[in-house]
Amino acid sequence: MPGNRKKTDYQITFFSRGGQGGITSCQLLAQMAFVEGFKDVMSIPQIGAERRGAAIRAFLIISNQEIRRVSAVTHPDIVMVFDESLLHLPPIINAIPKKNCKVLVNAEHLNNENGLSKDIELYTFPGTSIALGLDLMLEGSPLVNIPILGAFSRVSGLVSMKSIQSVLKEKWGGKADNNIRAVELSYDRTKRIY
Amino acid sequence: MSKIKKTEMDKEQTIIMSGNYASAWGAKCSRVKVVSAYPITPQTTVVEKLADFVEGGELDARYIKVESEHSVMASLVGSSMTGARSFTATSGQGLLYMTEMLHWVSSSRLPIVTTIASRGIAPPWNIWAEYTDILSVRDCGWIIQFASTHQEIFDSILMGYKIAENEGVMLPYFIVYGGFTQSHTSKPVRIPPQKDIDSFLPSPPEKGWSHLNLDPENPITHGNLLMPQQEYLDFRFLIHDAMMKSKKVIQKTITEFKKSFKRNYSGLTENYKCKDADVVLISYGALAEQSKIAVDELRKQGKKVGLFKLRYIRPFPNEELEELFNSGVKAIGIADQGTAFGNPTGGPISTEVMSLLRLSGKKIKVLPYVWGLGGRDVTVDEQIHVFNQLITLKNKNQYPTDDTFQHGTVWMGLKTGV
Repeated sequence: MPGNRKKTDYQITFFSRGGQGGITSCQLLAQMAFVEGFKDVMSIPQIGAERRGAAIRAFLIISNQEIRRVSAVTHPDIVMVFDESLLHLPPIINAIPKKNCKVLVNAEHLNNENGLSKDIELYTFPGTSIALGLDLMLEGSPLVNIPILGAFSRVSGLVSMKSIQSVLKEKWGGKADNNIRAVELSYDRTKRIY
Repeated sequence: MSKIKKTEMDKEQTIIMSGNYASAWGAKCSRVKVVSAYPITPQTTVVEKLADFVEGGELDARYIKVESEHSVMASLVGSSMTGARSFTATSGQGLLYMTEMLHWVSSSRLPIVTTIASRGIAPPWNIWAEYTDILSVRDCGWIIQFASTHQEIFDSILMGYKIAENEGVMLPYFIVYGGFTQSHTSKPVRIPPQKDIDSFLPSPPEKGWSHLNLDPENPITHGNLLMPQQEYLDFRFLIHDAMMKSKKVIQKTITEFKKSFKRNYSGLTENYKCKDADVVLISYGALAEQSKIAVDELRKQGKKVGLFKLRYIRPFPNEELEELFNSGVKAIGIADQGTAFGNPTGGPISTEVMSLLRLSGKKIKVLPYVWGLGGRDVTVDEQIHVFNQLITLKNKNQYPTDDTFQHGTVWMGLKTGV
């Protein structure tokens, strides 16, 4: 994607579970992409029956021109999966494109029988262990939504670590250090599987 | 009340915020004095954010919590009668429950501004974008303006108060946007410096509105029984007259806004590539804004299509539509995101456009559409399809033949036999 100068619109889908902070990270990335210099951004949480542990979707559009669309994101360039067990859910696995897509999964080791197409680019990052290691917890759950920002930066090249850090600092001031550490760790530990 | 003004800005700032927060920010920056609130999805975060502003001392206003939307508007009737700038927000069923009081506001000529995060009407329950809520109260004597972008939601509140409080208007004002697609998505919104907002929108007169002022020192009675021979009919005419004449004030306010803040909202309508178009789609809200992408795509193929976006439906932009009818356009589609059951001419707005078209005497082919009910997704490809259907209508006088064409109207995406 980076280097492809003709492309102006990037669409990202977030699959998370209630409590993991998927919607927050979608909104944070919107802000980070704007700081990065994109002309327009739009974060789109899919709201319905939100429950702890239930699958939740959110979408992000970042663009070099004014975003006028309000229709659903159906062909994302990047898919972020907060929890590898989400890949077992038919509505989620079916919503991930079979080609021309980068898929980023929070997993220590990803089983080969993961249901994903071989014609995509697959990446993993150990978000849960990074969050546990740095005590990024909310009500007993590890917060994957911060480490995933670093993995996104690495995989997409759309948002720099500098923009991520500046938004985290603006939001949390001195308390941002732990979050920034998590982002750096996940940037380093993001691996391309195929 | 404390007056910490920590979020008052000395210079313009761009904040990424939801459509609902843009509404709350618009009310805050308009320095509203009274907010009355009852929560309803998808509006709720508007009044939650305003509660935050009041609680944090960032907005010097009274915040009234009541037990229903009917009481929300009843309490604002009281506050606005004292000359206090008054605000609320609602959605769907909440607006319907409020309907009786809407007439109390307009008939008392109170310049209350209310934002609507529109949603489908139950049953079955639906909380996604559809405008049947606002369309079904379109004749309550409120000015009705659609905001099709996040920035427009914020900006419209500043303009809304200026228009509503104008001596020659004195009418309440709705600003309408779609549930979830606008209320819960976040986009960058530019918030101007507060001093610039204050000079664009000064405080209301200290002594209250000139026609009606509740003042304990000078008690009056109001809203009493009028016999048929008394001025009831004449008051009704004055509401209609003020609404028709408000068009000039609206236009002037848009011009002043552009001068102050460098953003141009054109007028009661926005004509997008209509000038030389022989096929035009008329619509409103965020789906109209999205249709511009379809227009651009088709223009690249050399097809002369345009979008005519209704920003206001009350007052109705009849002069702008007459101009469109006289522009040489050959076929028009009108897309309603709302219903008018039993109506032979599509939705509420297509019906109004068609009645004006009849008056103009122009022979223009016309096709009404109903789309996006209950938040049903409408894609750019489907909008391109709409324009292509209109081109077929223009060239071959052929109406659609598939199952979505029912009783003279295209119900986009209709699944028959359910």
